[in-house]
Amino acid sequence: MSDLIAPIVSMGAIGAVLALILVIADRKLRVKEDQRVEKILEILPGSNCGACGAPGCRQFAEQLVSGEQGPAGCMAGGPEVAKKIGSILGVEVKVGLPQKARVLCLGGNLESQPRAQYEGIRDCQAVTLQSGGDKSCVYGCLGYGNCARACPFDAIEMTDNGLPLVDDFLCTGCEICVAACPRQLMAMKTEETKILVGCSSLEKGKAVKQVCARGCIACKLCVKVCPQDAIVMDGNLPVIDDKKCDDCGICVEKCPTDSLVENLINQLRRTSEKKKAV
Amino acid sequence: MKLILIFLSASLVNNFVFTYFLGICPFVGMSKRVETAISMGMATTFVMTLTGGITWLIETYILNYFGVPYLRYVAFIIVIASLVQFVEMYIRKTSPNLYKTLGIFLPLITTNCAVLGLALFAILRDYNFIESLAYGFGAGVGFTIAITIMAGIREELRFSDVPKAMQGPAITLMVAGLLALAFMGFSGFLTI
Repeated sequence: MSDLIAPIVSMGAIGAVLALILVIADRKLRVKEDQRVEKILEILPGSNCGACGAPGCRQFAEQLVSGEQGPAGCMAGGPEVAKKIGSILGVEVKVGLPQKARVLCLGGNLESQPRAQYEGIRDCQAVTLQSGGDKSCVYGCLGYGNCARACPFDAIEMTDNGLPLVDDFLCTGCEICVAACPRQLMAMKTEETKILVGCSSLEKGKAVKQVCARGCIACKLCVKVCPQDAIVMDGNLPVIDDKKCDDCGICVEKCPTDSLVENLINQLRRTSEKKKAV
Repeated sequence: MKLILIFLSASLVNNFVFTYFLGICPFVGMSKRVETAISMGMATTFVMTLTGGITWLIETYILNYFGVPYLRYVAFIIVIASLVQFVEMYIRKTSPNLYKTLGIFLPLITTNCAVLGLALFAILRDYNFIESLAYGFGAGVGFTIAITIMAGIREELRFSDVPKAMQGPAITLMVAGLLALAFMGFSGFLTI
C-alpha cells in the first residue's frame, strides 16, 4: 500500500503544479483577439494559397478586420465567401460571376510536333529558357505542368496529350495558375464567355499551319459566318465580343482547324482513374 | 571542454535524426521549404534546450526524491507538453513577431519523440544540469542542421526528373537514408 502513495503523490503534485501554472498563464497572458477573425477564418477556404496577397488565411482574416483588405480579396473563396465575410463585417458586397481557369491553347503533343528533344529540368519556365522550348509552336502550351503543380486546389491535371485539364468543380478561380504559366496561356473566364479561342499564336496562317494542326490560321471564316457580327480580327487571332455573341455555335462548326471551342463552364470533370479514387 | 564535446557529439556525431532516427515525423513533414525548416529547427532547439534543463530538475528533485524513477516517461511527457504550452502563450503575449515564425510549430514539437529521447538520454548518461542544457542545445542544433539540409535538397529535387515510381514519399525517404549514410561518416570521432 505504501508503494502506491509515493507515485500518486509525486505525479499528482507535478500535475497539479503544472495545471496551476497553465491556468494562471492563461489568465495573465491571454491575448485579446477580435472574435471576427476566428469567424472569418472558419469561412475561408483555408488552403493558404496566398492569392489575396497575405501569407495565409489567418493573416488575410486579420487584414480584413483591420480594414486593409476588402471581402472580395479572397480569390479562391469567390462570391459566396465574399458575401459571408461581408455579413460578418457588416459590409455590402457586390459579386461577379465565378471565374474558372481556361487554357488558351489546343495544340497538344498530337497536334503540334516537338522540334527538339528536351532532356533538362521538367519545368515550363526552364524549358522556355532553352531557346524557346521543344515545342514547334513558340506560343503554345509546353506541357510540363507548371500550372498543375502551382494549383493549390489540385484542380489541374496534365492529359496524356500534354495539355492542362481544369476541373471546374475544384477550380476556385484563384489565378495562381495564370501567374505560373510562362507563356500566359491560362486565363480566367466566366459564363459570359461562350466561345473560347483555343490558340494564342500571333503568327500568320501559313506559319501556324506548319507547326500545329489546331492553331488559328487567320482565315477569317468565323468573322464572315457570325450572324451577330460579334467576331473581329485582332492581328491574326479572332476576338469575340461576349455581349454580342448569342452562343449559336456556327463559328465553332465552321472553323477549319477546330481552334474555336465552346466554353463549357462546370461541365468538365476529369476522368483520370488516380483522381477518381481519392 | 566537456560541454563543447557534448554539444558536438549531440549535434554532429550522434545526430538525433541521422543516427538515432528520432524526430523523423517533423523531419519529413516540415522539410519542403528551407524557410519553414529553419523556423521549425529554431523552435525545436528552443524547446529541446529548455527540456534538457527542466527534465533534469524533475528527475533529480522529484522522481529521485520520491524514489519513483519508473514514472520518468509519464512525468517527462506531462512536463514537456505543459512547458511547450506555456512557452507558446508567453511568446504570443510578449513577441507577436517571434510567435509568427515559431508559434505555429510549437504545438507540433510537443509530440516530437526527439525531445523525449533527449531527456531520457541525458538521464541515462548521468549529465549534470549544465551538461543537460548543453546536450539539449546540441541536439536542437543537430535537428536544425538535418532538417535544413533536407529542405535544401528537396527544393532542388522539385526540378529533377524523378522516375514516376519513386516520386513523392519514396524519393524523400531515399534521400533521408543517403543523408543518414553521410552522417555515419562522423561515427567514432568523439566518444563520451
